[in-house]
Amino acid sequence: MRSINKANIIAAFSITLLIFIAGFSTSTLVYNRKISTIQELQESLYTDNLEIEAQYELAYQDVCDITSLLTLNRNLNELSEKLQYLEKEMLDENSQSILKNIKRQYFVLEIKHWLFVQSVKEECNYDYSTILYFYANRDCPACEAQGLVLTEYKQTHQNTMIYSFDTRFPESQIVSNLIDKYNISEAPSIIYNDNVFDYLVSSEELENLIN
Amino acid sequence: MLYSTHQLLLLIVIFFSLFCSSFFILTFLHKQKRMGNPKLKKNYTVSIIIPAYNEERGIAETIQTALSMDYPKNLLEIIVVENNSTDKTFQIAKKFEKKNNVKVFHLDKAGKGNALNFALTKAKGEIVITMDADSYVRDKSLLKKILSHFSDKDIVSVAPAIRPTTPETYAQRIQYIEYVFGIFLRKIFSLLDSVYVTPGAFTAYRKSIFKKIGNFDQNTITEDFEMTLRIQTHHFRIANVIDAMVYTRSPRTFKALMAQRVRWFLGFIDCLIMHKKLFNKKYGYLGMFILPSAIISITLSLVLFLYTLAKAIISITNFLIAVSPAHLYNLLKFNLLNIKFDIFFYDIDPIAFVVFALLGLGVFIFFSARKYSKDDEKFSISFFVYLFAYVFVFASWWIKTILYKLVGKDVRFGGVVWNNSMLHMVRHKLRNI
Repeated sequence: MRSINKANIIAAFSITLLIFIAGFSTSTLVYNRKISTIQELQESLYTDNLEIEAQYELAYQDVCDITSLLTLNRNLNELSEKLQYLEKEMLDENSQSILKNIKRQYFVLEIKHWLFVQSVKEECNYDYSTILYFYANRDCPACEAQGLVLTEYKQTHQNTMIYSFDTRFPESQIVSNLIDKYNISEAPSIIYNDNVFDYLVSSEELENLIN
Repeated sequence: MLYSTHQLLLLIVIFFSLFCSSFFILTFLHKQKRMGNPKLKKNYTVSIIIPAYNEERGIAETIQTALSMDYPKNLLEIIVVENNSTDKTFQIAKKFEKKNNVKVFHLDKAGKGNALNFALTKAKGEIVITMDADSYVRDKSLLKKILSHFSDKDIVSVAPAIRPTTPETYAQRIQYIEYVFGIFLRKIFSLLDSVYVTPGAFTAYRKSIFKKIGNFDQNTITEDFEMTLRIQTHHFRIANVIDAMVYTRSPRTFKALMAQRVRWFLGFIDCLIMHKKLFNKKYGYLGMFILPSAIISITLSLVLFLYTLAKAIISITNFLIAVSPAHLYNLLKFNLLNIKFDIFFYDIDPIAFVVFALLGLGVFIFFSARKYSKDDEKFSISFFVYLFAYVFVFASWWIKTILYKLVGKDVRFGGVVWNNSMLHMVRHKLRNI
């Protein structure tokens, strides 16, 4: 009969457990910091948006100066990228619900910005285009490709504003309404000039479409 | 769901690997004092037996190095058994016979087990050492280091550290890494009385053991593994000498390596089934920890590998269906050139954290093995690339092994035919009904 020293096994198990706990708590710390970063970003964008609207209403600023609107749209896109990145991480439930809240507010902000841009369109005779982009975060390789196409387009065409919406986010009533309005059933889908393109639109096609 | 199946699987595999590695390292730290060799108290008579099948390339060097070891010549004999070779192995070995204490025999029967058992009938030494004709020794004091462990009456078998010769091809570089880890693990296993394989390349046995438990099994394709397990079933002890280095000429190509590993792994499965009673708490760490963890880690890594591969293939095909390759190329080029360096997109996720911890333990094991075995191979950072590549070749060996075990027929290894697949057994049973 040979014996087993249980102490060594327990010690090895505890070490492994400690390493795992350390790993999970470090990453939770890092995630929490990131979440507060995007929360701050979100809040400042919200204020930016209110400010632009208010200035327009007060006629303090030439609203037809598109710079501030474009900047806000760029910042919104940046927030969207960060949100999508964080969503794929291994977050605990608390962080996930915070993230969901940020996401809801973010979509509202996007829609408000879009509506505002639409409303001042005629007045200013703008030379810009708006694209609504509907994506799915998981199991959608075409969405990843479409994301790449749009990122490329946005960087080479400064006068384009892109608003992206998650098709699998029932928590946002306003996004669901938008999906119903345009009758979107598939991701990726793009809406340009009220026309729906429910397939992967290539860079060339996008170019032809908009010009 | 919080985690995907893939992430969960990965976490389980890492948890298990971390647990085993920390257990081995704890054992090492705990029993560090037992790493050295005792004093040689007695000069035993020794027979080195070398079975050889088509080994004309290396047999001369093997015999030469066996002869050059620092040990009284009158106490050392070398027995070469050549069986069924089609090359000049016999003639080359025969040349050593005239001047030295070397005996060379020819045997018609194929199989390494047969050659070893034949040699046992000729061996006169108290200690018998089996040595592969593709192995050699550089350290002249190696024999004394090995023999010193027989002063402990319970020890019936002593194994050295094995490493391949200086690697030249990619297949050999990958093997080098594997062997270095093997050196450490085998030492730990011996400290836990749980050695489950002593290398055919070079292992010493007390000759009396063969009377007690029988000679080598002639029907298995891994007689060294079978013998080790049989020794374990009788509760005899096996020692390991970490600073006694034996060199083996490892397969140069991936194809040859695959053939060798499939033979080892098929033998591993067959012998474990043969000695399944070892999975019992009577056999201490061997039965309750070392053997089960070997099986669990093989299964887990195989499942993880296949799952990852399937997932990767599916997502790549889906991506290619969605985007044409040319289009994809342009997109990726553009996005890579315009990458934004934002700290936000770099982080420590729990998986990365535990993977790094595991790598840290791996590095510790790697350098400890090199230090204690006094390995002088030049270190290169590229070793870690080979370590990564090892995962893939290891999985491919096991996939082929499992296929053979299920449906293989007349699988040939050198002079031996293996016919022990499940399909074969079912057919055999049906025929008998």
